[in-house]
Amino acid sequence: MPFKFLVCILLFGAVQYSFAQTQDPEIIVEDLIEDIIEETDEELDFSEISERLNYYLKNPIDLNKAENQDLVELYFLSPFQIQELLTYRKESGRFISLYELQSITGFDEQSIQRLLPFITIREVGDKKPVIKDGEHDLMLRYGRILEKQKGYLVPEKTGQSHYMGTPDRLFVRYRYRLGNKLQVALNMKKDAGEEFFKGNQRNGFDFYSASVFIRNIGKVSNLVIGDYSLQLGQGLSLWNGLSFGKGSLVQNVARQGVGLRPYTSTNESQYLRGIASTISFGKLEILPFISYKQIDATLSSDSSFFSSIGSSGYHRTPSENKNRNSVSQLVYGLNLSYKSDKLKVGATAFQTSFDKPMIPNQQLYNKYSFQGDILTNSSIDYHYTYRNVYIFGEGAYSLRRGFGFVNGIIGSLSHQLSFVILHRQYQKEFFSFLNQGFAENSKAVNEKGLYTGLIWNPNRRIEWVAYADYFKFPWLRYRVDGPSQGYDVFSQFSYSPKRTLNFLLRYRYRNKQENATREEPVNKLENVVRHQARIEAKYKINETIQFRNRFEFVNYAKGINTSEKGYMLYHDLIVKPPGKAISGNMRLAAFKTDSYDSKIYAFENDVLYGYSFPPYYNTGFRLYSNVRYRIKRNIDFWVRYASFLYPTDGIGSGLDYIEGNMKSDIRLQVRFQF
Amino acid sequence: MRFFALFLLLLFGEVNAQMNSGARFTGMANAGAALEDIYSLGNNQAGIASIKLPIVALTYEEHFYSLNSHSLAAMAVMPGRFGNVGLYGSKYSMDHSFNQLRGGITYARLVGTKLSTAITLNYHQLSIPEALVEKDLTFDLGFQYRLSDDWLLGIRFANLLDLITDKVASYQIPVKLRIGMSYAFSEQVLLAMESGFDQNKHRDFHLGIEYSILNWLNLRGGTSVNPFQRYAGAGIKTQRIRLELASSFHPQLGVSPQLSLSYAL
Repeated sequence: MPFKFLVCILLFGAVQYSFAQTQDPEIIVEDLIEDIIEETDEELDFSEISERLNYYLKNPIDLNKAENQDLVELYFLSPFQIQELLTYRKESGRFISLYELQSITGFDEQSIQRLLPFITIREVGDKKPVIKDGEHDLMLRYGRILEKQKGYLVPEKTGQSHYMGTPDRLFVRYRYRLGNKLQVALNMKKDAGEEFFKGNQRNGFDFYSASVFIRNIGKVSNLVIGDYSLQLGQGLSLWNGLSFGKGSLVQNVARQGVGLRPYTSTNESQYLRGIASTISFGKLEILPFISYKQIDATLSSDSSFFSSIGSSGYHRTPSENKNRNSVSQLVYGLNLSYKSDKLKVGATAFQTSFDKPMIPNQQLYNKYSFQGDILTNSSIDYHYTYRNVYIFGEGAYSLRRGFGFVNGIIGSLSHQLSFVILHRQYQKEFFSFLNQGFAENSKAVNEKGLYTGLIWNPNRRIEWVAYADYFKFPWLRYRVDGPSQGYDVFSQFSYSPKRTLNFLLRYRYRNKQENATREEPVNKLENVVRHQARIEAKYKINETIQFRNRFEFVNYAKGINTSEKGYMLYHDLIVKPPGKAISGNMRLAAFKTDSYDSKIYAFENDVLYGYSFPPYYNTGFRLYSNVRYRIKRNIDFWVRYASFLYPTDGIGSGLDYIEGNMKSDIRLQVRFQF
Repeated sequence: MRFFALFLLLLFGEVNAQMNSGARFTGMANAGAALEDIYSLGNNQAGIASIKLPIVALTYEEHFYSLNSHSLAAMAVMPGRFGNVGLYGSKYSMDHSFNQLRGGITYARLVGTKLSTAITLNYHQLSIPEALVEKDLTFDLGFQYRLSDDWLLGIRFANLLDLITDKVASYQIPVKLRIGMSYAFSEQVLLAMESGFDQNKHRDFHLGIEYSILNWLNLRGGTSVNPFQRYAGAGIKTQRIRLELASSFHPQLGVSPQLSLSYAL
């Protein structure tokens, strides 16, 4: 023990400078989200991440008690780092100081900065929570696009598509938490264009989601009644919620499932509804689950079968409402897992069934797609640590259909350099409705590939990451009328010369095949090549003001005939006066892209638990501003205004079309904590 | 399809303009411009300037496996008082219907303690029986500069001054500029990168890593872009002998295994 004290004192001297610069949790969430989703056209809710991180910000994890699962919940730690941390604690004894993190392999400056706000070392044990410790959190949000969109102007004639409700968006979120024993969550949401307390939505909101989460009662370590999510293995068979794909967190291609958790996100698909529980018998855990819910599906004209499942959660038009809750889905199964210090092995089996059969459209690319009303899936997953190497994988089988395999290795070659190799092979017949494994496609089916990555931290100020991924699709895909292939190369260099200044350079190259633009009886495949380069600088002027600039360039080429360019430049101002009730941020961005194909996505700041990730395309300006005001100690108020401004009239397409040259959006939000 | 793809590669001079630089470099994605080895004779010849003992090496490669296309190369380095002399000879042939010979003599020396230089005279011969025989002489210039104990920079100008211009076909030996760097993380880990372009404006990028997992055992891996290929290899060594195995993996054409043996006299 005296030796440990000595180490701490020595380290304290050496690292005092760096520990002063813990990262702003909001920036961590932002970085993570940008990493998880680089591009998406869907309006996704990422509050799953921020809600969890905000919880740990208020209730930091005790490093001396933390288990693998607790650290996994922070999202940004790699499996290797978690393993190293636990091994260090086991070998060196209890943590005396957080400064000890510096001496753990795999913890570079940035990881430590990210981790510090969420961890602590407690001298005394947790006290048992009593009812009066319960915390309530109620949040109300309103939003709408100020300009009239075409969908609201079309007269209500039969056969003509239009939005049936008002353009207002409403969201109510309630949480009750009693220590780490009990959590109650309720979400209610109405999207723009959906009806409210009338028509198809007689019960008020379009989407309701609720859950009760109980922890650590005897052998029952987790119990969820209501909406829940399961993240098992590498996600080949069963994974709900967000997951890492290819991005700058190279090591996070190794999935770390948190197992059973209540579902608290507002995404209207990809969750389970029913009851599930984790029961622990020492190193062995049993997780039985059952779910029954109505899902949106595209019905045939006689409603006897459905061709596809909808995930957008929009119920604005008559046809969207026709498919709303049109099919019922039953999922039940069991997961068994064994965990020791270095090894984890899990086995899962479950069945998904519907009250109507699924018969996809009779297109050649659907030849191997799932057909029928019942599907049984099973899988085995593992991860194991041996010295400086972490191996992981999953093998999954969909009964009478096919196999999917993913296997990988993360190794630390020296203190500065780590590598990742991930191999995947998903047969074209392999399928699971709840699959979200690592893949180039949105689902891990019909794909083979090899991903290799490197992470280099030559010193505390510099980080370089790179990956290369080659993939093949043995069977046809939507808009790809032949077996196809491609590759994806990424490199990012970040440099922080001092604690208030950070530079980032990023380059990504993607080459993929799809049908030629000119449609012919037999479509030829053309290469679609996308170069993307980004330069970014973040700098703090003083304790109150921070600036952020980004320049991004995209070059998009399809075949030999189409070549496009896109540029985007933004300047962000972030104001956070310490100790003041008011804070805010704003962005001014200018962009010019040749078309939608050369679009550029950028993460935008929003009200708490609200997210915007819009594509910037054509020529125009983007402006947004957020203000947060703490009215009282337990009442917060947010307001956000955002607009796109174009030189010419006519924005968007279809029912979202706006006649003018401006599209603006407003959000108001209030939160009560009591 | 594979024959067609190979034909295209030959047409664009991708395969036959490559020199056989041994399994160590292949395992590291051919990112050899800033590596020091006898196998530098097949890449940036300045890499032989620091060699202290006479050494000979032999390397054999099956190109894209079952196509009966292979290459064999022999190399030797003789250190001398006024610099090192290197000899290189290789034969690449495909089904006896396409043969390419390459021979080279290199003079390399250290200028001061940090800069290595090399000049090479190359002889090229391309023959397609009963169709054509072409001969060429070219020069290579190579430089390596040691920035620190860990960092090495390399630059090479290849196939300069095409001395024989009388040609039967449009076959061309492209002038190339290659730039690379290598960084030793520790005694165990070496990272190498190489990039460059030729007179046909073909650009590429190579990145490779060598990891000494044990004193006598090295593991290697790498990736190149344009064309996209993966590489992996391993090598064992004793005080005098090194035996190395590697392969490139081309998405369409498959594997090209390679075996190299070197002996320090």
